[in-house]
Amino acid sequence: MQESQESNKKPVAGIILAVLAVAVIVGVTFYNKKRNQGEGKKADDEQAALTIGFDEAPRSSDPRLIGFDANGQYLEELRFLPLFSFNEDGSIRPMLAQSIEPKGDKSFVVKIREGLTFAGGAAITPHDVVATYKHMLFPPGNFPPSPRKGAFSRVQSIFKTGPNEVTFTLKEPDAAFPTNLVIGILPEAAITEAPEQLDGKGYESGPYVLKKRSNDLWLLARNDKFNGPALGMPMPHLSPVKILAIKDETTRYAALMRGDLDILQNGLDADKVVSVQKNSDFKVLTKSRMGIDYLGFATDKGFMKDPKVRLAIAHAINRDEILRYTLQDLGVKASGTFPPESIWSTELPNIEYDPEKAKSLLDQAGYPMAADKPNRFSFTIKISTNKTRIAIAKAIAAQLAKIGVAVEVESLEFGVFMNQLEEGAITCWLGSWTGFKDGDHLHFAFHSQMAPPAGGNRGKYSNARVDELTALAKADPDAKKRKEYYDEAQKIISSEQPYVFLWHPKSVAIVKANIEGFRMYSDGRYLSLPDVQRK
Amino acid sequence: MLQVLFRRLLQLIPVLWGIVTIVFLLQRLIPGSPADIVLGPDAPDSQKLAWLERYGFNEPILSQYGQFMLGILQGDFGRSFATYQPVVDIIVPRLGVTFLLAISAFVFSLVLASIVGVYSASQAGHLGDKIAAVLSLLAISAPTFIIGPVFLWFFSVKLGWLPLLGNEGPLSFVLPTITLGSALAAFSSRMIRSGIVDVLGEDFIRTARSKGLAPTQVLVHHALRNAFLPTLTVLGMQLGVLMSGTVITEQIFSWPGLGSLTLQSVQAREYNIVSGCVIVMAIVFVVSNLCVDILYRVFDPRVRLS
Repeated sequence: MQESQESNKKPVAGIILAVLAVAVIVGVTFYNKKRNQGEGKKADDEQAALTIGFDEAPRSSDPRLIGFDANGQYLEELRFLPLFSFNEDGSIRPMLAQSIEPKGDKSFVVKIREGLTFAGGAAITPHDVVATYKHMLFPPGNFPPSPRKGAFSRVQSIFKTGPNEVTFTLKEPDAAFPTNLVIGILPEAAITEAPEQLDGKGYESGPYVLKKRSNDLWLLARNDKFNGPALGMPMPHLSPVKILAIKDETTRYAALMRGDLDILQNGLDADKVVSVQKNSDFKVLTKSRMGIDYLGFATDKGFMKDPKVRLAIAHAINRDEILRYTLQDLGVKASGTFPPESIWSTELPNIEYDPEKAKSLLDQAGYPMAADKPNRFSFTIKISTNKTRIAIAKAIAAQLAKIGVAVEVESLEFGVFMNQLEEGAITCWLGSWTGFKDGDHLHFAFHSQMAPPAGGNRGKYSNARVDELTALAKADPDAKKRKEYYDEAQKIISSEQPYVFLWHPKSVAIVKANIEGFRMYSDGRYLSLPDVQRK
Repeated sequence: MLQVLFRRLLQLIPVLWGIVTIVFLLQRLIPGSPADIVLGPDAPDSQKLAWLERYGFNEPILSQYGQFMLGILQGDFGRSFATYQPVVDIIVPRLGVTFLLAISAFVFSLVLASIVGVYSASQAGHLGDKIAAVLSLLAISAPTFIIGPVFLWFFSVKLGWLPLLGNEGPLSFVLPTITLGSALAAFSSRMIRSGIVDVLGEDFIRTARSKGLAPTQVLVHHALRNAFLPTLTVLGMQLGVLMSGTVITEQIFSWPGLGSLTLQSVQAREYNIVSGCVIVMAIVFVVSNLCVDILYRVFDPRVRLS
């Protein structure tokens, strides 16, 4: 009797389960539809007019604390106008500043634009500029030191020297100093605020104010007090703008394909970019980045001391092949530090792929291919854990094997990699410089006194003439003369190959087909966002 | 009972002290300075030194350790190097999010494992049991970083049924929960199945059947309850593992929880946040084990806490 009742219940249970399953599917679909139509419960203030994907959440929103964090800097500029920013080609662009003039060889006089206000209505004055920079240089005792202080270590004083004028005086000449004046200016009244307590108080002066932020989401709204025309910018067409930080690359790609993102800049690997290029729902924009990918050598160690060895390695690397197959042509072959668009680039000999010449150079350098040895010599290329870098290093290793040089590839966690690099424990590494704006980068990267920890000459390259030229250019306010100094320095560097200059990477932005007005900047900034419109 | 609980809580102290000390030492042993990450590798040495001094990193290691322990005893985990926010303020909101995810994955595992385990045991040796075994093996073998993106692509991108990112409403729990809980569900279902099959040969099951109870009642009320004890131990320990194992799941689904925070903080050499996260996870792990011990007593009154 009991068993027959059980067997009778089976079809009923099956029907109930089926009904439940259908209900769940219908419910999910209905809820999803509502969400997509903006009727979901969170749709009110988060229904963004434009959604942008970032690969990482900005670490700080406080200009006094933003440091080595590109995404933080991009958002800073959209909220807090700096004295200067940069144009699409990397040239300097006045923002709050109207002009800058050198005064003697150690001072710069900055004229501040009139008629600009913060979102709270207060006028932007030289007092605000002085207060912001002084706070960064001399923070009060209870405030953490600014990560940007280092860029201003040469500043001796900052004073308001006129109704709309601020004078920066340096301890020693530095013609590249204006490129450092990119910090978002805060009202003088905001300077006493605690760290990260600047949101929603009307301190912004840029095209957007911060409406809301959580761990991975930032919502920017139009700043109605933004005086765009004075800066040659429109009022933002689309508002609010949602910034979504998605750390996983596959998830970023999925979000893009799902239509959750309108713009994704430098957020996908080359292979996925190629797949997006075939999709008519998106436009793929590219722009040569102000950067250089290079193979660096410890020029003070062993066989890497010999310029012939370094030149041989340069001739043995088939950059066209790597660019085509590993980077899907998302780079431009380099002959020096600066990309062709840069005002600091100069005509340099292109080191062509020539394995025979490479072998000959190694023979001349005293590293012949002996019959009893499997290779001429061996070394290790160290890299961070970036998977594209690993692929490039492996390709280089395979190419060098063809000239009898055995190369191992070792991938290290970024912190460990940088630590070993700073300590001089790496003979050869795959690195990149990015974001430099001035020829002075040559001084930072190649002057013999700029080996770590003083600067970025990690290969300890040393050439007296390069030292002299980069020092002269640093001290000379005459742009034409500086260019001549840097041209000569670049020619010497090219002939000695302390790096193999591989390529200038391209920035890639994937933009929905119905989005117009987005222009790319060579350093990845988002200054064209106010121009963006939806068709 | 209360005495036992108090004694067990006292035992937590040396465990947590050990964990805190190991975390402190490991972080100091990792090459790479937090100053390089915060200020950038190219910042001048003088600035890096000033920064390290500011945060007490130039002091002898014992002194750093003393200050670190003192801070923790006062509930002060320090501040973030990047934003200067108190670590507690950063961790607490994320802890709730991760806890919800871990609990939902735990409940999902428990329910699914019980259903599949009981079904497999009732079909032992038949086709249904074999299919369940294969599916379980598949779920146990497939790593989170494979099944997460597959689910995400299929249910979010292709079908558009479920949200892709973050913690936005109940539907956003579905994919992370299944991703995080499927391996545990599969593993537990096999344990439940084996336990039930063993128990089904016992005298008390024969007695229950001879009393005329329905097979389902025998399975669920008699066999499952007894077969559940060993599974409970595993599940209890797994709650802690789920909490700390959310790192990959949170990364894939952009889930703003403790796991993704820990990963970011390790990369950024945010020592204080890493310490805070690890300590919180350790506490959850130890407390969940204690809860298992208590539940053991509920399921089997013969067991006494000691």
